[in-house]
Amino acid sequence: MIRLEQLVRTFGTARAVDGVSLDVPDGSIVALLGPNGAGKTTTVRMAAGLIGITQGRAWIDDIDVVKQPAHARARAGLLMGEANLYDNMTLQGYLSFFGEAYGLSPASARNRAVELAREVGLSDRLTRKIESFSKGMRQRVHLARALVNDPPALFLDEPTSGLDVEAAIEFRERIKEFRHERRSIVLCTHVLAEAEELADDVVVIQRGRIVAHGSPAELKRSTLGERYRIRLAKGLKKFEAAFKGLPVDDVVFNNGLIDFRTKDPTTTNPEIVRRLVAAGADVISVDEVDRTLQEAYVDIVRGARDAG
Amino acid sequence: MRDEIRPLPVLPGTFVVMRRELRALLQDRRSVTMMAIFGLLFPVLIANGAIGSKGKPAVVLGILTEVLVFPYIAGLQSALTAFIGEREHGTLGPLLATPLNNVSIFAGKLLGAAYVPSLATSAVGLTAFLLLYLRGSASGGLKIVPHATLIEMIALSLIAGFAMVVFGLLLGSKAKSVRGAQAITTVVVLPVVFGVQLLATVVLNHSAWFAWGVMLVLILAIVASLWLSARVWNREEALVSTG
Repeated sequence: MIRLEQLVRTFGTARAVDGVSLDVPDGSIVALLGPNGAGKTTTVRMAAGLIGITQGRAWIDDIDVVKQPAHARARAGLLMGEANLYDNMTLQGYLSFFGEAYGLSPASARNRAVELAREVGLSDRLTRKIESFSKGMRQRVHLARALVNDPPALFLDEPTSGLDVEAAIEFRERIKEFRHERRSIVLCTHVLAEAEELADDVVVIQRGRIVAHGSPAELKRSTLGERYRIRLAKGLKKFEAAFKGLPVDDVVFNNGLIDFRTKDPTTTNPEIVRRLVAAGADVISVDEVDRTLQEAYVDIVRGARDAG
Repeated sequence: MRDEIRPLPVLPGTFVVMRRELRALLQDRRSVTMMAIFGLLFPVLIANGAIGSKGKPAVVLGILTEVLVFPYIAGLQSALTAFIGEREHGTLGPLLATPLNNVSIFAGKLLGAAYVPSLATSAVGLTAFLLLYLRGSASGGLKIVPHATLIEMIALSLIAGFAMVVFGLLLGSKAKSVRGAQAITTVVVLPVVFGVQLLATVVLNHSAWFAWGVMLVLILAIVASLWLSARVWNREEALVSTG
């Protein structure tokens, strides 16, 4: 379980993180989304006990990160961006070193290295130097290193950045397995499809503050309302008058298709249909258009930016 | 397995980091070559040169001090690679994510990358120098230099070498790249190299108290610099620099 309570972090006079709170229960994945510089990485670094917390509190597996940062780090696995590794070490040497850095005896660290190499599919590379590894293999080494302490909490910051499609899919499958291993996972990503596929909850951060929080489905429905599409039999005429005075946004006419958004479909949609029929339109269907998380995210971020 | 995971105390943590640094150093051909040049080639060449200077204790002592100090130049380069190079290449992040204490990481890197190999190289160099010098000047050997002065200068040179590494690291710590740090540290290397030469002459002509006084000042400066370096080089600073 990861718990963050009103985390604040300042750098000089700048507030990089401003009151971030979230819970990540065992076996769940929370995606942190936000533009560059929004405060995602700083939040993760505070939560994982790497940097100090200016204000607020954080716990990893019931360990207070403020009071016992080293113990918190011992319970956390952190995978940060691109896989920069000690190239001139062998895989076995690399993983054993990190095992020992986490307090394992040399013998246990060696055994753990063998175990992890098997787990990430690199058993046959144990004695090879890391410099000879492909990018996908390097990312697997990075992951193995993050798992060396069998952490109950995992922080994955851009874990698939720079990977090819196949390697990224493979990596995402592995992340899904972590959920079954009852680990709490915080995932920072710019790949919104990845967040939609993996996350139980999505948190959007902007200027250090949480501007949206919910399941991917909830976020897609929130803010500007759901999007609907009306299909007409004849597409030449526009029926702008049918939308006048109604609580709708972003009305787009396109060859017999009318797209619009409304927060109040129960009363608005029947009224639109009534007006269209009265104006002589032949309405074939009214459908809810499935929004992607990406569309929802862009709306949220723009909305938050406009709100100042 | 989870039960075994725990933050290591400072000393065992330092040892883990130091061992990795030593291994990395030994696997790096450039570093090994530098150590071999400073630890073996230089003493041999210098000792051959010194044979002709018997009877001139200041010259012999000056040369001996260089044999002892030169390995620390290579040590300083290794230390810069271990600290600034890792930050530059982004390999520091995973290390900082471990429960290792700041002091363990700092001391482990400093010992493993700089002090232990430099000290070992100095020892090899000193042995090579003494063997060659004594063999080549069998009649007089190092008897021309008072034993006490010899010991004082060996101690002084080693302390000066230690100081050079820590001063260089302190100065170079804010550099963004190893190359930048190397350029900055030149201002430390040259004064130390020439400084010990000068000290050799001064020590010969003054009382022992002078040498021990200089050593004391250097030790105090080393302690202060180590304290400052450890403050400058901390988890947060290193992480902020890695982005």
